[in-house]
Amino acid sequence: NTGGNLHTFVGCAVREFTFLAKKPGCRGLITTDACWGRCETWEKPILEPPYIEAHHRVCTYNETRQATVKLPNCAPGVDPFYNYPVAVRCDCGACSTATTECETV
Amino acid sequence: WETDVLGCHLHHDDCQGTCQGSHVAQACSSAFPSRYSVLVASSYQHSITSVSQCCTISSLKKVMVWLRSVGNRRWGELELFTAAGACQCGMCRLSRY
Repeated sequence: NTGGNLHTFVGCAVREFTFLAKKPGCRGLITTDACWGRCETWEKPILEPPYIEAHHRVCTYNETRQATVKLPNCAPGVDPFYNYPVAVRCDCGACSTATTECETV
Repeated sequence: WETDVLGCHLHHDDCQGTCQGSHVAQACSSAFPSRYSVLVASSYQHSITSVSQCCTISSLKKVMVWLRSVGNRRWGELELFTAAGACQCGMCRLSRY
Protein backbone atom coordinates (compact mmCIF):
# COMPACT_ATOMS: atom_id res chain seq x y z
CA ASN A 1 0.00 0.00 0.00
CA THR A 2 1.61 3.26 -1.15
CA GLY A 3 -1.01 5.52 0.39
CA GLY A 4 -2.28 6.45 -3.05
CA ASN A 5 0.34 9.03 -4.07
CA LEU A 6 3.23 7.52 -5.99
CA HIS A 7 4.92 10.92 -6.47
CA THR A 8 5.54 11.42 -2.77
CA PHE A 9 5.67 7.84 -1.54
CA VAL A 10 8.86 6.90 0.24
CA GLY A 11 9.23 3.28 1.21
CA CYS A 12 8.96 -0.12 -0.45
CA ALA A 13 5.72 -1.81 -1.36
CA VAL A 14 4.25 -4.71 -3.29
CA ARG A 15 3.01 -3.53 -6.65
CA GLU A 16 1.37 -5.28 -9.59
CA PHE A 17 3.78 -5.87 -12.44
CA THR A 18 3.31 -7.29 -15.93
CA PHE A 19 6.23 -8.78 -17.80
CA LEU A 20 6.87 -10.79 -20.94
CA ALA A 21 7.97 -14.28 -19.97
CA LYS A 22 10.14 -15.76 -22.69
CA LYS A 23 11.93 -19.02 -23.19
CA PRO A 24 13.02 -20.66 -26.44
CA GLY A 25 9.84 -21.63 -28.29
CA CYS A 26 7.48 -19.92 -25.84
CA ARG A 27 6.38 -16.52 -24.70
CA GLY A 28 3.49 -14.98 -22.78
CA LEU A 29 2.49 -12.03 -20.63
CA ILE A 30 2.39 -12.64 -16.88
CA THR A 31 0.92 -10.30 -14.29
CA THR A 32 2.29 -10.80 -10.80
CA ASP A 33 3.25 -9.00 -7.59
CA ALA A 34 6.67 -7.34 -7.59
CA CYS A 35 8.33 -4.54 -5.58
CA TRP A 36 8.50 -0.81 -6.15
CA GLY A 37 9.45 2.18 -4.04
CA ARG A 38 12.03 4.65 -2.88
CA CYS A 39 14.51 3.83 -0.16
CA GLU A 40 16.77 5.98 2.00
CA THR A 41 20.32 6.05 0.65
CA TRP A 42 23.33 8.10 1.63
CA GLU A 43 27.11 8.34 1.46
CA LYS A 44 29.50 10.22 3.69
CA PRO A 45 33.27 10.59 3.86
CA ILE A 46 35.16 8.94 6.71
CA LEU A 47 38.81 9.21 7.69
CA GLU A 48 39.65 5.49 7.51
CA PRO A 49 39.56 3.20 4.44
CA PRO A 50 37.50 2.83 2.34
CA TYR A 51 37.05 6.57 3.09
CA ILE A 52 33.41 6.59 2.05
CA GLU A 53 30.68 5.00 4.15
CA ALA A 54 27.65 4.03 2.14
CA HIS A 55 24.14 3.19 3.22
CA HIS A 56 22.59 1.95 0.01
CA ARG A 57 19.25 0.23 0.33
CA VAL A 58 17.06 -0.76 -2.57
CA CYS A 59 13.44 -1.83 -2.78
CA THR A 60 13.49 -5.59 -3.21
CA TYR A 61 11.77 -8.83 -2.31
CA ASN A 62 11.81 -9.73 1.39
CA GLU A 63 9.51 -12.73 1.17
CA THR A 64 8.57 -14.65 -1.96
CA ARG A 65 6.59 -17.61 -3.10
CA GLN A 66 7.09 -19.49 -6.35
CA ALA A 67 4.41 -19.64 -9.00
CA THR A 68 4.14 -21.66 -12.20
CA VAL A 69 2.13 -20.83 -15.30
CA LYS A 70 1.61 -22.63 -18.56
CA LEU A 71 2.66 -20.41 -21.43
CA PRO A 72 0.40 -20.43 -24.49
CA ASN A 73 1.30 -21.39 -28.04
CA CYS A 74 4.56 -23.13 -27.26
CA ALA A 75 6.43 -24.91 -30.03
CA PRO A 76 6.09 -28.68 -30.10
CA GLY A 77 8.43 -30.42 -27.72
CA VAL A 78 8.96 -27.32 -25.56
CA ASP A 79 8.15 -27.47 -21.86
CA PRO A 80 5.36 -24.84 -21.58
CA PHE A 81 5.68 -24.31 -17.84
CA TYR A 82 7.37 -21.15 -16.55
CA ASN A 83 8.42 -20.59 -12.93
CA TYR A 84 8.72 -17.12 -11.42
CA PRO A 85 8.85 -15.52 -7.97
CA VAL A 86 5.86 -13.65 -6.54
CA ALA A 87 6.50 -10.91 -4.01
CA VAL A 88 4.76 -11.58 -0.70
CA ARG A 89 6.56 -8.80 1.16
CA CYS A 90 8.93 -6.08 -0.03
CA ASP A 91 11.45 -4.11 2.01
CA CYS A 92 14.30 -1.68 1.62
CA GLY A 93 17.49 -3.71 1.90
CA ALA A 94 20.90 -4.37 0.42
CA CYS A 95 20.87 -5.86 -3.06
CA SER A 96 22.26 -9.37 -2.63
CA THR A 97 24.24 -10.54 -5.63
CA ALA A 98 23.74 -14.10 -4.43
CA THR A 99 20.07 -14.13 -5.32
CA THR A 100 19.49 -10.98 -7.32
CA GLU A 101 20.64 -9.43 -10.57
CA CYS A 102 21.55 -5.98 -9.24
CA GLU A 103 21.35 -3.35 -11.96
CA THR A 104 21.48 0.40 -12.06
CA VAL A 105 19.49 2.69 -14.32
CA TRP B 1 8.84 8.69 6.41
CA GLU B 2 9.07 12.37 5.67
CA THR B 3 8.49 13.18 2.05
CA ASP B 4 10.85 16.16 2.04
CA VAL B 5 13.85 13.84 1.66
CA LEU B 6 12.99 13.06 -1.98
CA GLY B 7 15.97 13.58 -4.24
CA CYS B 8 19.69 13.37 -3.57
CA HIS B 9 20.84 16.32 -1.48
CA LEU B 10 23.84 17.54 0.43
CA HIS B 11 23.39 17.70 4.19
CA HIS B 12 25.65 19.77 6.43
CA ASP B 13 24.60 18.27 9.72
CA ASP B 14 28.26 17.57 10.52
CA CYS B 15 31.61 18.97 9.40
CA GLN B 16 32.11 16.18 6.87
CA GLY B 17 28.95 16.66 4.88
CA THR B 18 26.73 13.79 3.83
CA CYS B 19 25.00 12.99 0.57
CA GLN B 20 21.58 11.93 1.63
CA GLY B 21 18.19 11.33 0.19
CA SER B 22 15.95 8.90 -1.55
CA HIS B 23 15.25 8.80 -5.21
CA VAL B 24 13.29 11.20 -7.29
CA ALA B 25 10.26 9.81 -9.08
CA GLN B 26 12.13 9.22 -12.34
CA ALA B 27 14.80 7.13 -10.64
CA CYS B 28 12.81 4.92 -8.34
CA SER B 29 13.83 1.50 -7.16
CA SER B 30 12.11 -1.67 -8.29
CA ALA B 31 12.54 -5.44 -8.31
CA PHE B 32 10.81 -7.95 -10.55
CA PRO B 33 11.21 -11.49 -11.99
CA SER B 34 14.38 -11.80 -14.06
CA ARG B 35 14.41 -12.21 -17.82
CA TYR B 36 15.08 -15.65 -19.21
CA SER B 37 18.54 -14.57 -20.39
CA VAL B 38 19.43 -13.52 -16.84
CA LEU B 39 18.18 -16.82 -15.46
CA VAL B 40 20.33 -18.79 -17.90
CA ALA B 41 23.41 -16.61 -17.40
CA SER B 42 23.18 -16.97 -13.62
CA SER B 43 22.42 -20.70 -13.67
CA TYR B 44 18.93 -19.86 -12.35
CA GLN B 45 20.38 -18.27 -9.20
CA HIS B 46 19.20 -14.73 -9.98
CA SER B 47 15.45 -15.15 -10.19
CA ILE B 48 14.97 -11.50 -9.21
CA THR B 49 16.29 -8.38 -10.92
CA SER B 50 16.66 -5.14 -8.98
CA VAL B 51 16.97 -1.86 -10.87
CA SER B 52 17.84 1.12 -8.73
CA GLN B 53 19.89 4.23 -8.19
CA CYS B 54 21.43 5.46 -4.94
CA CYS B 55 22.58 8.80 -3.62
CA THR B 56 26.36 9.02 -4.09
CA ILE B 57 29.15 11.53 -3.62
CA SER B 58 30.11 12.95 -7.00
CA SER B 59 32.89 15.29 -5.85
CA LEU B 60 34.84 16.07 -2.73
CA LYS B 61 36.28 19.35 -1.53
CA LYS B 62 38.75 20.19 1.19
CA VAL B 63 37.88 21.96 4.39
CA MET B 64 40.29 23.19 7.05
CA VAL B 65 39.56 22.31 10.65
CA TRP B 66 41.37 23.97 13.54
CA LEU B 67 42.45 21.70 16.36
CA ARG B 68 44.05 22.58 19.71
CA SER B 69 46.66 20.18 21.06
CA VAL B 70 46.06 19.09 24.64
CA GLY B 71 49.62 19.56 25.99
CA ASN B 72 50.85 22.95 24.88
CA ARG B 73 47.56 24.69 24.13
CA ARG B 74 48.74 25.55 20.64
CA TRP B 75 46.31 25.63 17.76
CA GLY B 76 47.10 23.34 14.85
CA GLU B 77 45.52 22.95 11.48
CA LEU B 78 44.13 19.69 10.12
CA GLU B 79 43.06 19.20 6.56
CA LEU B 80 39.99 17.03 5.96
CA PHE B 81 38.12 15.90 2.94
CA THR B 82 34.45 16.58 2.82
CA ALA B 83 31.51 15.68 0.62
CA ALA B 84 30.51 19.27 0.31
CA GLY B 85 31.30 19.19 -3.41
CA ALA B 86 28.19 17.63 -4.86
CA CYS B 87 25.89 14.63 -4.77
CA GLN B 88 24.22 12.71 -7.54
CA CYS B 89 21.98 9.71 -8.11
CA GLY B 90 24.34 6.95 -9.20
CA MET B 91 25.24 3.31 -8.90
CA CYS B 92 24.40 1.52 -5.67
CA ARG B 93 27.09 -0.33 -3.78
CA LEU B 94 26.19 -3.98 -3.90
CA SER B 95 26.07 -6.58 -1.20
CA ARG B 96 28.11 -9.69 -2.00
CA TYR B 97 27.64 -12.73 0.23
